[in-house]
Amino acid sequence: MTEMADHIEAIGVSRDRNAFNILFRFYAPRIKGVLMRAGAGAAEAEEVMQETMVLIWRKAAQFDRTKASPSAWIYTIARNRRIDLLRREKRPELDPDDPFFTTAGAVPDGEETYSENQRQAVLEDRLQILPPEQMLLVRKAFYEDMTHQAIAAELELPLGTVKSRLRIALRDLRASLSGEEI
Amino acid sequence: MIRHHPQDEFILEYSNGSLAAAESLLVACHASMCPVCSRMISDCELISAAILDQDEVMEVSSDSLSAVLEKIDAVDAFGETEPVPAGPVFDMETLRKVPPPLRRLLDGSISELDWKRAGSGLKRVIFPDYSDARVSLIEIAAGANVPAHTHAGSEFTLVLSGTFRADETDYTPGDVAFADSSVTHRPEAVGMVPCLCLTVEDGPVRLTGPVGRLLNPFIKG
Repeated sequence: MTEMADHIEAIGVSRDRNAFNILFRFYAPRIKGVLMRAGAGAAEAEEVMQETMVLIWRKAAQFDRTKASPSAWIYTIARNRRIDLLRREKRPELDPDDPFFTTAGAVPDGEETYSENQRQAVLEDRLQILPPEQMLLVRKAFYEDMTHQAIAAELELPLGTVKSRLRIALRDLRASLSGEEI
Repeated sequence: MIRHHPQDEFILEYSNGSLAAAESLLVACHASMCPVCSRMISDCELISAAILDQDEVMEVSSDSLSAVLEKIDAVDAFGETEPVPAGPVFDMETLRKVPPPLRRLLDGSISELDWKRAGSGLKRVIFPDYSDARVSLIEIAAGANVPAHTHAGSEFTLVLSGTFRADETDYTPGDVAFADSSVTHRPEAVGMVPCLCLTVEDGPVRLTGPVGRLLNPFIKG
């Protein structure tokens, strides 16, 4: 996915339309897919996807590959756009560029050698071997963007069970990022 | 050093966008002050991205790309810059104490807000834009305490400056305190300075002290 980061930078630096076409072909169907997974109808998903692609064009110069993988950056733009359309209140976003924002001590020693792309690849490997019942919950929480309450209702599980299973899954996935053996 | 964080489930729901707007505001403010939680949020976003890249795709409309290209032509023709709405200019105190996600709700610096007295040594500004919860800034004067109370729903308090003590625990800037109907507390500002907090309540507050009970009918939930 390093090349995707190159394409976003090419748009930011030189308004590279060829790079944009490549991004579009890869991401547009995925963004539409994830929006529909999160409950949008086909027409709405198409519209939000198109707006997201335009935002990628506009915001490309702000992309920083040391802070986010291309997919994490793009997916977050799509999610913010969807929420802003759903809600009266604008989604409160974090702005790492604001001087108020502090990241000192955020990265444990030894973890900094991984790029965001490498970290994503580690996660993809770890997701492959997640037990099926955990993966089901992880997909609902991290892909379908459901609340814990909604997951509990849909799967007919106690809310406490959903919370504790997701807490364990999150801990395991994050541990894989710091190279810990589970 | 921040010792009291929102529970993992709130961080996760903030990350996936399913958390209610008022709670999202509090989590975003906390994460602006807390490197541990902001890191957890970006890890959650990375997990979503890892699934997204591996997952099924949804066919886009046949004219999708040309529609988007037309829109970016318009963007480029009219220039890149979005008009930035002219917001209030904040003083240093506000810039130092108020995290950026909360500044968007302020129509002026802390000292210029429409503070209402809410008891002895206690003042409050309520932000009316939230339908599902009561969001407010409260300031407890140094040495003063909030009357003993409990909650029908839940209450999150994020300390922005100063220190308050509840149930023998000190909460300092960046810390989040959580209370629900199982908790009756009487938070007190300790130290020499007032304690400024962001609070999010999603149920009516009930005063529990002997005088407080008499005041209950006058509290708006």
